Parts: sequence; structure tokens; C-alpha cells
Amino acid sequence: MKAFLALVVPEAAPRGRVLAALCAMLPRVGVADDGAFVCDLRGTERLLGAPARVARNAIAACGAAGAGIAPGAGIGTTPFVARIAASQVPAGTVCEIAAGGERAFLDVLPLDVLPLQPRLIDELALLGIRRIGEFLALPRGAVSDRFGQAAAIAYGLASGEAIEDVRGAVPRRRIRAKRMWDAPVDSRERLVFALRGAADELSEALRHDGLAALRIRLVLERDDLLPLRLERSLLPPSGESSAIVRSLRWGLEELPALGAVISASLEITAVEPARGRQIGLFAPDGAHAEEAIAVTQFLRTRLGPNAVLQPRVVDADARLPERVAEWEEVVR
Amino acid sequence: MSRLFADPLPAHMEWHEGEPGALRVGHRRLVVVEVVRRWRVDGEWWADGLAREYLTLRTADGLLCDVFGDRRTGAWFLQRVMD
Amino acid sequence: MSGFVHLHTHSPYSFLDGASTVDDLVAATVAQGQDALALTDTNGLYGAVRFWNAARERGIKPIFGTELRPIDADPMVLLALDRSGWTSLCRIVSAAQLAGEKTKPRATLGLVFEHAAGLIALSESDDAETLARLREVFGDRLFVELVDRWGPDDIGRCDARAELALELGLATVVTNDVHYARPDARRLHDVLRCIDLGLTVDEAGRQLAANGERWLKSETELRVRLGHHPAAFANARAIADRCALDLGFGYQRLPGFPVPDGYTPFSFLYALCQDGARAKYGGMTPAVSKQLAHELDVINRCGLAEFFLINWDIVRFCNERRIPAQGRGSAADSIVAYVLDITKVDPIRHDLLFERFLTEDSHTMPDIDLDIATNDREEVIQYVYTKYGEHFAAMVCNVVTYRSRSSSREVAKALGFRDLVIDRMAKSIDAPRFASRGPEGVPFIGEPEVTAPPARTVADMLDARERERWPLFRKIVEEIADFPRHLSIHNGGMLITALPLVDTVPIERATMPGRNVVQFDKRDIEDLGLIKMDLLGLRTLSLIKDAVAMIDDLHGVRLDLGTLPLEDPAVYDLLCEVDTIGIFQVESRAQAQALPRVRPRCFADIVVEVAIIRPGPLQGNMVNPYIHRRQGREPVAYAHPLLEPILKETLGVILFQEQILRVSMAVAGFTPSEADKLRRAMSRARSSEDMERLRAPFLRGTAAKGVPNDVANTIFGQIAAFAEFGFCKSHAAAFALTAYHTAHLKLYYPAEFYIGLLNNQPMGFYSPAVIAGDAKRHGIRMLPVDVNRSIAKAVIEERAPASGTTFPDDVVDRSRTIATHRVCRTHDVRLGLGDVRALGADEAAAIVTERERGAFRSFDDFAGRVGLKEEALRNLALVGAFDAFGEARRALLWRARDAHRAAPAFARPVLAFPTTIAPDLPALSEQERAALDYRITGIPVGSQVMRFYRERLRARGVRSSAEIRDGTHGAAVRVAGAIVVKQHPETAKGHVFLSLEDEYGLVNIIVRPATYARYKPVVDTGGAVVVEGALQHVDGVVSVLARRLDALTLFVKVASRDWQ
Repeated sequence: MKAFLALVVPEAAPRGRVLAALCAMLPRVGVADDGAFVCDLRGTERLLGAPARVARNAIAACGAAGAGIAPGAGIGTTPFVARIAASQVPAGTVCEIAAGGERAFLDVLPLDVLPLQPRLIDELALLGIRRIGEFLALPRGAVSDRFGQAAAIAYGLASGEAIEDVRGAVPRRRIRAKRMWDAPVDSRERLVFALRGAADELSEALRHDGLAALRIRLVLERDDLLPLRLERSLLPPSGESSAIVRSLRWGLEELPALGAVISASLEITAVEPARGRQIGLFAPDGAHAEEAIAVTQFLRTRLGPNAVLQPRVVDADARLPERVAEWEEVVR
Repeated sequence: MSRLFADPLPAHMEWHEGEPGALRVGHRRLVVVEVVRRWRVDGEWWADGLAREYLTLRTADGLLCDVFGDRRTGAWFLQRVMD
Repeated sequence: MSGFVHLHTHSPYSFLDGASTVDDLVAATVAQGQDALALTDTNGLYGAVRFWNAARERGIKPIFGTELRPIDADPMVLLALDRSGWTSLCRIVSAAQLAGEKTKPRATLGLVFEHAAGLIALSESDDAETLARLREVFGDRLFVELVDRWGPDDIGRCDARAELALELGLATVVTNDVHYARPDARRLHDVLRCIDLGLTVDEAGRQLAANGERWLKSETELRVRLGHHPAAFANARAIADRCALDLGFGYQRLPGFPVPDGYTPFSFLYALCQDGARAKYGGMTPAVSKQLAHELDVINRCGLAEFFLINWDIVRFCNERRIPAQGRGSAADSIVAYVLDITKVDPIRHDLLFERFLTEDSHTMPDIDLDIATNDREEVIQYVYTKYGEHFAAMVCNVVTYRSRSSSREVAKALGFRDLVIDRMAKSIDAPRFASRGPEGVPFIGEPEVTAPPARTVADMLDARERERWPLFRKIVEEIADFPRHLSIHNGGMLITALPLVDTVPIERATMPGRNVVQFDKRDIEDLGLIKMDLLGLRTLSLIKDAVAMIDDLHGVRLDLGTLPLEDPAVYDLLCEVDTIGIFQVESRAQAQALPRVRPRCFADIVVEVAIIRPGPLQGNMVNPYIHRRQGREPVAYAHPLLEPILKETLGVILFQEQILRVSMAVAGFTPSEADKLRRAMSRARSSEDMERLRAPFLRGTAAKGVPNDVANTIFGQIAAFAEFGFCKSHAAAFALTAYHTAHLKLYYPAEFYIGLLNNQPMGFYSPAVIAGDAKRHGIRMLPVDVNRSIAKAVIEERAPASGTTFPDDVVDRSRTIATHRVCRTHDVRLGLGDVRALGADEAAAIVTERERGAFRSFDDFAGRVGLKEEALRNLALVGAFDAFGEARRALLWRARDAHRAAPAFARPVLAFPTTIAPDLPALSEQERAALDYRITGIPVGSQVMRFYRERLRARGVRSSAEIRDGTHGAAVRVAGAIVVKQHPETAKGHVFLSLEDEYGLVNIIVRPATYARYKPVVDTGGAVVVEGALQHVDGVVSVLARRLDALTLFVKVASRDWQ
């Protein structure tokens, strides 16, 4: 059976958490262009149950993950139909469009559910075409001829002839640990000591993924005071608990006063591969250009954007010297 | 050639009778022997805004450098050292 | 005198390069303890007169100059030493402006050298050769400018320049290149620069100044860094002391007017008056002769014969060309103006007072404003140009200033707001508030088919950055208000001088090719004591001209409106019935409300109506006493018997400025000129002390006349209360005459009248859609544009005996008076090709020309022969211009793309594009046709939009504008309609008035301030509203006092006119 499930989540929802929850329960979860989550349920019926049941479970899972959000869910034979169905129902309910029922469902809908430019929608309205059914009544040739590629694609989607891809998306894992204390911690030494356990936990998680911490963030909740944030860079990057603790201790020593700390949360906000070694790109061993480029590319894939950079002069006469150059990616 | 600090280095300015006397950067103390130029850059009021008073200083050990003071916070920074 | 003087200063008249007003700069100068200031705007002298006034008021010495930016040299500052220097400045600026394009003058060094007399030059050049060349011409009048803008090398450059000056034997002077009075105005300056550069502040980068140091600093402040050049400070003082120029040109001779041999200007004027009097009065009467002699005597003694001859000559030219032209304003008080045919109202018959126009010892020039049919005004201006020569005549400028709408848009753009926010903002003129959300403004009737999302407020649309900059935006918009933006031609003001223009005033190129404009506006010209003519365009006169021509063509009737008797009862019936849409001066909401109360029955009543229903008298509460007396609810009484003959015509209430003069002459024994002085002084009095100073002489006069003190005080109070707002009777009479003429046309020849009205838009109070609706309610059909019948403009069309087209039931003659008197019932209005959007005048003309070679036979025939843009072709199809060919409008829309390629301009001769066949498309519904009409021509030929909602509205208890006319006062009603006029008059203490249109007519809504505050978003978004409220039915005036307003989203956008 061909079945796709779509979930339309409110814009304000914690999308990352929702996506993670969906990934945990379903295979092949993707994000459509309009932000809806689309799951490919083909061949899953025996494993997971009927699509409608899956949809209800997914709604419940989203609710749990996203602090009570209730997405609308749609089931259809193409991702497009599923998405439209999901967008047409009240939050928290499921709309299933059975195979063969697509046209009856789509025909009465206004054209603006199709991926068409507003100008084109206006033009079609001038010609008396306001609903999908009327649009599909036009000869196919006339549509692409007269209104162009985008209209032809929309026509294909609406007529069920074109099927969108469901592109997979994996949520990023967060590495963090949290500690709370009943009796507030008010000295640096005690705090550092108390954070050791959390650092060990993170170190373990890093080792598991083969990563080293590059940046860490510590947020301290305090009695009667605003939370304190501490951002540290680890140079060289390290996955060792002791290195994390050492960096935290230095950071804490620079603070004027600590206050009464009641909880701490420690998170690794940037990582790089654990076995990576620093390569002097422009130093003698960088003379092996191919190796340098390969290493840069490796670093780029592991570290993501904004990590492997080089300066470029943008405005040699800038009034502020720091504006003379900007940093750009070494490789793209 | 000059060396530009992308993130200007925090510095401390010591004043003598309203004129820059010495600049402390990290552990070093540079005695100012001459204020070569003095100018203002002030703008971007629509965003965070900036208001800097720039000085080009010559120090006792022959160094020529650009420093600026943030006119709102009073903090001083070393931004450029000329060779 | 000692102390530093700023000699290089920019005001907003440097157009987007100066951020403090002239007044602020002068005030800052005073605050810094400086006693003189030079204003040196870029390439112009625009601010000179204002600066002169402000400086005199604050007691500092004004120095006049400009910062000239030659294309072949560094910018330089030129300062006028004396009158010859002023002439040089005017010549240089004018020549540079005329040599370049508008806003892009071309000054050269050569030009400066040619006109260097009386000028001091300041140069910031570092080039020895340039300085040496300047020195040859200017000698010791050249100074090298030392400017410290706090840049990295400024002090170094100043020192080097000073050294260079020393080598060349030149003196130096300190300036600060001032662009704003105080440091905080720097923000505004940055924004102005961004507007000029077309960049946002984020993009502008180094194109903005590095810092905010170019303000009007004190000498002490400047000396901190430039103190080692003491001579340069002393020189600033010395230069200021050398400059001595006062702009008061005093009384300027008029240009000579050529008179026939053997005549002096006065004797020629005298002869013309004798001839004119015979023509107008059919023979001399003692009254006419006496008045004429008196006026001619005054004119002679004031030396104004030529002034009258110039005006007479213009009107003579207009009469020759059959161009309607007439004097307005106080000129109509003069019998000389009347017999010369400059004005059209008989001052004897209407008892007007010459002294309001001219008294012997008044020191200002009298003002004759001529109204000329707008379409022909250009021809008249051209005539004056040719007659006096372009060296002696130029248009007066009008400085276009920033108003809330334009400034919001440009400031928002400069601050990097997104376009969609800017567009939305422009729609609601008033500032949006974050806290206020629309009240129950959700549309309760959706669009018939696809629902639109409810309109969002601006606050909802802002992104984080815009939200952050919002307070800045508000502040800067406030600061920029009234800043000059650019020059435009004043609507008709012409300066005529005795000396060549360029020796007296700076001129520049106008947008219109071949036309020059003075860099001074009307007020400046008056302050300088120069002569100007006001040739104003009045579209109503074009309407009259067009209608009269049509009537001649169709009915063979040659209407001579000038000789029309003014006692036709039917005209007064029409006015009392308030069937006044399109009638000059009496069509507005306020007029419509007053007409049933005043119930005009004679010409004098119209004069009163025109004079009193205006903001001033309404605000001054002059109107109710008169109306109450008129209705007999209040006795007619006079404060003193002496007043009775003067105030009898207005039932004891002072309504005209002439009456002030007469009253003070009668009860205080004033001479006419004393009386006029009192009137002027009162109208200018700003405080109660000012007023008290005027009271004493008045009371001395009344005492001498034996008027009791308390009575005299009462009379003084009445005059004082009125003086501020008063209208002169002559002006009201001139306008009343035009009102009478248009009423006559509407009454007897409605079809011709409506065509004249539609073809001369924009004019008057209502949009074309409302005018068309009014026509339909008089049984006149609006026929759709037709490629084989329409011409460029709307045209009259004889009704076919049995036309096949069915017309909506709202085309019914609902009028009473017009239905009784109209001359013709068989003529309709065929809309013009020019009404179609995307079709310009050239295209319309091309269609008509091509049609002369043979009627169009089909859509493809038309497309092939005329060669329009696709857009124009589509619009024509959509409003039914091809309906006669029998093909569906939508099919034509589909085919338009291919069809337009068949046009000669598009296709190569060998290539003929076959036009594709359209697929089956639904037919246009009646409602869709209405929507297209509103969108494309703005004039619905079918039903008014509200008819499509009528059934649903009726189901909700909403009544039509026709139904409420018979309702009882105070009853609760619901009405609905498209907002066609919104008024937010300052005089109404926060009340807002709406005119709603439905298919039966207009209904007036009064929105109280509290209600408006609550429903503001509903009212401001425009469109249509459903109003719940209490019916007001007083003295035959019907309106609804709103309690609640709900937005009604229409499927069309109806044009609304907003009046503040």
C-alpha cells in the first residue's frame, strides 16, 4: 500500500525535538519545503499498524516532545496529498485520503494550496480558475505552454503524477549533563568538584561518538540572581574529563562573584573529531597541498560551517580596522 | 607593514595632566612620548552604535601604535602596531 | 564686534544634506553667543529669504552665500559682500542650474570667474595651482578654508594648507562645514544622506560621515584643535564684518506695459474702463460712475495702472481663445476689475467693498488671483512668457516638504525596513501602536468565494530588527516633518520683474521642459517685495467649457453663462434637495449638511453658504447663530442700530470680512485703510495682549461716535472672533457664481455635466465611481468602453431605441428636480479608452486614428492593426471593449498573448502568429465584471458593489441608504457601504466623518472620538463597513451616529478620498 503521513506543526513549536521524536518512532522522516514533516509509511503496515493508528501515535509523540503541541495529520497516497490533508484538518486530528479519493478531495480546494506564485494564482483567477479541479480541467499542454514550468509541476502534483521525494533528516544529538543541588554551592572549589561527575558523563558520551570537545557552555542557575553563562573554548580540543574541568576552573576564576548556585548545566556546543591533529595549513607540512585540501575538507564535513576559515580583505579603507577583512570558508 | 588585531587587545591608559602618559597592555607598560594623530569614528547609531576616539601613539621604545578608547565605556584597546 | 562666525553652513535647503532648519541654525548661533551666520547651501539660494527673516527676528547678522560645486574644481564657498555680490550669486547659481539638468547643475570655474564681483571665496583646495588661479580673480577676497572634521589626518592637512596659503600669500579662515546645529541631529543627517543615496543605513558604510562633528560648534571648542591658527579665527570675524547685504529690495517697478500711441498707462486704463462699464452696465449710472472714479483715483495714486493692464491683457487673451478665466479673492471687490472683465461678479449689485481689495496707503501689492480652466492654463502661461520674455518672467516655486506619508516611506527605507512593511505603513497614515490590536474587526461576511486573511497591523509585521528600530523611526519621522524635499512649480505663481530676473533672484530648470522656476516660493517673493501673478488652474472651469461645447454640438444651444439670470427657482430647488454631487463648492459633506438648514433661495444665500461652510467659521462657531436666525429659532438682533444696514443681509451676524471694515468704519469712525489695518492686525494677532493693543483705538473711536462702552466691547469681541477665519464676500461671490453655473448645467444637461466632470478628474470631493453612481441614479447609463465607439475621453452617446443590453435596476432616475427640468433623457455616457488602466493617451489616440481607416471587425483585426501592449489588450477585453464581436471576455484574455504578437510592431512581415484557441473557461459572473470594472476603469458600468451583498445584509437587518431616509430620529439602525470619503477634520475635535456609498446613494456616518479610538483599524483599513448606530434626522439632514463598526471585506477595492 502506498501511504505517506504528513504532520503540520505550528511554527513556534520546538521543531528539533519533534523531529527527534518522530525519527525515534518512524523510519524515513523528512522535512518538506513548507516545513511539514513527512513520513514514508510504505511497507510498514505489518510492523507499525494501520496508517491512521500510526498518525495518532505520531500526534501523541509530538505532543510529548513539544510540550503539548498537537499537529494536524494527513495520510495520502503521495506526500503532497498527505501534506494538504494535514493542513486542512483541525489541530490534533487525522485526515485520511483513501486511494482513489484524491481528486474528490483536491478538486474543491483553492489554488493557493499548490506551490504557485501569487501572480499566477491571480492570473488563473482572472481566467475563472480558482480551484484545483478547474485547474486540472485545463489541457496539460496548455498549462506548461502558457504558465511555465512551476505550473506544470503543480499540475503534476495535483494530478498525482509527480511524487515528491521524502528527504531524510537526522536531528543533531546534544551532549549535555545537568546537576542540581539542594544546598546552594557558593564556592568555586566546591563547584568545580561538583562538576567533575558531569564532566565525566560528557567525556564518556564524547568517547562513544569519537569526538573531542571544542567549545563548552556552562549555565549556572542561582538563588535570587540571574543565571550565569560561561562559554569556554578548549584548545587543543579534547575529550578528556580533566581538560574540561580545567577549562571550567579557569573560566570560573575570572568571574567576580559566584553567588549561590543551585543547578548547573554543562553542554558541549562544538566538537571536532577526537583523533584530529592540528595541521599547519600554511606551514611547511601544508606544502603538501593535496593533503592540506583533503584535511580541510575532512574538517569541514566533521565540524560543519564556520569552523575552517581564512581571512579575505573586503574593504581595505574601512574606517574600523577590524572591518578590513572578513573570515570565509577555506573550502565549500 | 603593520599588525592588526582582529579582536583589539584590552589596554589600560594612564593619563598625565589630560594627556596620554602610558599604555598598559597585558604585562607590558608602554610610555607614550607623542600623540601623533587623534581622530574620531562615531556611528552606527541605528544598531548598537560605536563611538571611538583613536590615537596614534609613539612610545618610548620606538613603537608606533593605534589605540582607541570607547567613548561610552571609557575602555581602551590596542588595535594596530606599526613596524 | 568680536568673536567667531560660522561661514560655511548647510540647511535642509541643501536638499538631503542638512539636518537642522534655518531657524534651528539661527537659534544655535544665538545660543553659542555668536552674532552672525552665513548660510551656504549647496548650489542654491533656496533658504536665503527664510534665513534673512529668521536672522532679523533673532537679531543676528545674516550673510548670504552658497557652496558651489563646480564640475572642474573643488567645491568652494561664495559669500556675497553686497548687492553686487548677490547679483553675482544669482547669476552663477542660475547659469549653473540652467546649464545642467534638473537637480544636477553644471557650474564651472569659468562661470565663477565671469561673475566674481562682490563675492568672497573660501576654498578648501590643497592644489597650489587652483588657489593661484582663484587668487588672480579674487585677490584679497580669497581665503583658504581650514576645516577639522576629526578625521585621522585633518589637523595635518589643515597645517599643510595653512603653510601653502602662507607661500601663496593668502589668508586662512576656520569653518566647520556645518551640516546640523547640534550633535544629536547627526542621526537625521545620516538618514537624509541615505535617502539621497538610495541606500539603507546598513549599506551606506563609508558614504556616511565617519563621525558627528560637523555641528555648529563654539569658538572654544574649535580652538582646542585649531587654536594654533589664530589668524584664521580672526579672519572669520573680519569676513563677517565685510559682508553687508540686506535683501529688502523695496518696491520694485512693474515691467512696462505697452500702450497705444498717445496713451499713458493710466489714460489707457481709463479708456478701457469706460468701454467696459458701458458693456457691463449698458450705460453709466451715477453709482457706477462714482465708484469707478473713486477706484481709478486710488489706482492712479498707487501707480498700479500697469498692474491692472497686465491682468486685463491676460483675461483679454483668454476671452479671445474662449478660455474660461475669472478673478477670485478680494479682486472681485473692485469695479475696475469687473468692467475690465477680470472678475465676473458685479460689485455694485452685490454690494462689495473696494477697500477690502486696495486702500491707498497699504504697503503690500494687491493680489489678483486668476482662475483659469486647467486644460488651457498652460497656453495662458506661455502667452505671459512670450509677452514679457523669459528674462523677466519665471514661475514661482513651491517647496515640496516631507509629510507624514512620504517621510515614513523614505525614512523606513533608509532604516532598512522591508518593502511589505513600508507598503502597509503607507496605508495607515497614523502611527500604529503595538499595544492596540484590532477590536472585533473580523469580517463577518467573507469574500464570496475565496476568503482572504484578515489584514494584519503594521506592528504584527515587523521583524526583530524593525521592532528594535521602531522608536528611532518614529523619532526621525517626526524630525524630518516639513523638511524641504524638492522644488516644484507653484500652481500658477508667476514672477514678473522689471530688472532681468537673474540679477534679482536665482532661477533653475523646472521639470517641464523649457520652463524656469525661481528658487523662492510665494511667501519669499512677497517678503522680497516683488510682483507675482497667480494663474491658478480650476478644473471646474474646464468642466464648464467642455459641457458648454457639448451642449452647443448636441442641442444647438449657445449657453452664455455670463448673462445667465441668477434667479432660477429650479436651481435653488436642486440645492435644497442636496442633489449636489459635482456642483462646485457645495458638494462636500459639510455643505450637504448645511444646505437643508440654510435652504438657499437667492444668489446671496449661495454666497453665504460658500462663505460659512468652511473649517474656520465652523470652528469659530459662526455658523449656528446664522442658521438659527435663518430658521427663525433665534431673533434677529443688532448690538447697535448703526450695525443694522451693514449686517441686515446676514441677519445681524458678521459673516464677511467686508463687514468688519464697514462695522469699524460705522461705529468707530475708522477710515477704510484704518479699518483694513485693524482687520489684518486682528487676523494676525497671536495673543490676547496683541488683541488688547487694538482695542483701545477702537474704543476711542466708538466713544466719539457715542456708542456705549459695553456695546462697543461686544462689537469688538464679535469682530475679533471672526477676523481669524473670515472669508471675503467678493471671493465667496465669485465662487458662488461658479457654483450656480455648475448647478445650472447639472439641472438641465446632466449627461453633459457628468461627462465634463469625469473627463476633468481629479476634481472635487468624490471619486469617479461615486460620480458614475450619481449619474446612474439620474437614469444615465455608463456604457462600457467599446473599441468601435469610444474615444480617448468619455463621450456622450444617443441611446439606441431598444438596446439589447440589460441594465441593472440601479440605473433609474431617482431625482425630483432634475427629472422635471432636464432637457434631454436619451443620452448616456460612453466611457473613454483613456479610462482603461495601462492604456495611455498615445495608445488611445492610436486606436481612434486607426479606426478612421475603417471600423475594427474582430479582436484579431484590432490586435493586428493597433499593436498594443498585452496588458492594454487584456484590460480592454476584460472591461468588454470587444463585446460587440461576440466572443467571451475570458477567451479573449487567453488569446491576448498571441494576438498582441500579431501587431505590426511586433511581428516580422513574413511571420504571422496564429492565435491559439482558448480552452473552455467559465463565463464572467456579474460580480466578476463589477470587480474588473472597479479595477480597470474605476467606474462600474453595472451595479454598485454593495448590491452583491444586499441580500445577506438585509438578512442581518442592515438597511440601505434609501430606506433610512424616512426613519425616525434616534432610531437604532444598521447601514453598510463602501467608504468613499473619510474626513478627519482638525476642526471637529477628533470626530471622523465617513461617507458610505451603496447602490442607492450616500449615507453620512459620524464617528465620535471614543468610538473611533476603538474601531480605528476598521475605519483605517478602508474598504467597506457595517455601521450600527443611532439615526440622526434633523432639519432634513440624515446621518448615522456610529456606535459600532465592523469591517466588511469587499471583493473589489473602492477608491476612497481622505480629507484632513
